[in-house]
Amino acid sequence: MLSSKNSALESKDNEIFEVEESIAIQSELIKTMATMVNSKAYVNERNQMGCWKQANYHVEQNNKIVDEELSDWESKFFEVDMDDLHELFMAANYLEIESLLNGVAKRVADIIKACMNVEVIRQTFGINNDFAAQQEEEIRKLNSWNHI
Amino acid sequence: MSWKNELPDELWRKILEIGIKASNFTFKDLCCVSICSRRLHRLSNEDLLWSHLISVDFPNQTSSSSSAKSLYKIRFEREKERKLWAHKRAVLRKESQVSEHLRKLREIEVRLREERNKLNSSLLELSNLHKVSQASVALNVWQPEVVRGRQKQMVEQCVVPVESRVHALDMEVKLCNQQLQVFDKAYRDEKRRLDTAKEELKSMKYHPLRDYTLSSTENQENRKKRKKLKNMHQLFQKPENFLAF
Repeated sequence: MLSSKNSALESKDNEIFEVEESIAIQSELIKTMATMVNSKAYVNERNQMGCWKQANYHVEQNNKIVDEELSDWESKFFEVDMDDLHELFMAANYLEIESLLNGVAKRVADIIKACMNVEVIRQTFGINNDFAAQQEEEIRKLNSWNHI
Repeated sequence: MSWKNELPDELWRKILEIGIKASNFTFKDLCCVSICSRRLHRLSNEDLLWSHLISVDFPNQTSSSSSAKSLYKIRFEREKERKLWAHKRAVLRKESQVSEHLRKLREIEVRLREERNKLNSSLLELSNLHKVSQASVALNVWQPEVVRGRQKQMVEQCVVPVESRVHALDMEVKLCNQQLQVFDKAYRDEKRRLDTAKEELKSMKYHPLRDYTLSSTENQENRKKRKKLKNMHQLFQKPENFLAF
């Protein structure tokens, strides 16, 4: 561990987390806020835990672990339901943690890739079809040039 | 669970970018996403994404202008044309290979027949000569006059020197048998090559949809089967269902 200095972070639910400073600064937001006095980060509690867990692991394993093990852990870490994933995504975005952001984005991309067709994508992500019927047909035609 | 409305544009962009760079997104995935909603349509049509796909799928080609997506489409269709023609040529080549093998097989069959005929006539002559030599041996012992007469006739009618002719014929029979073995092997080999080529041709021509809509015999089972597969065929016609390929 690089430093033993801990920072106290208060979440939206008024719970206080003690986190290693080296991990805390993985979040760009915290880093910049740390320079300001008396600032608080308002994030949903659950995601604080999730984010720190991941950031913690990253810092710990940074130089020694082999790539495969890291990605194994990561793939298990991201196997949560869509709601959790969503929250994790928003939290990572808000806290500006680059590695976490990329991890979640990759997981979402994999989910999209695994979807067999448009309907499944819409269902999975709760996307509303805002095309008028005629427009939709046009769009489908435009995008079906790759099918036999 | 309403992702689309709550995620800001730049997050969707990040997802799509990472999709292309790390999750092996293909043009099909991007097209799928763009059919989902207006916003996703706009976000997935961006040049940055399609330029990346172009550089992966069609590298080393100079581009002119226009949107990256339409450029990709043009290149893709050109490539598809090219592949279609290459496939047709390959099928033609394979078909001519098959007919070449068939021709060779016919040739070998002819030679086999000829050789067998030769063998048979040699064997026939041999058996006759054996009868003659038996007869000449038998003449040295007492025989009833009838038999003797016949045997004398046989020996006198034979104009060739029996022993040497028998030797020659024995050689010829041996050679014929050898030659027949050679031809047999050649036939088997050629047949094997023919069968391989036929198999290859069959797999080249195979198309999962087309073959199912062909009808052969008209019995109840086939009719039922065809109806079920026709429904499957219609299912495959819808673009979104095709994306599984």
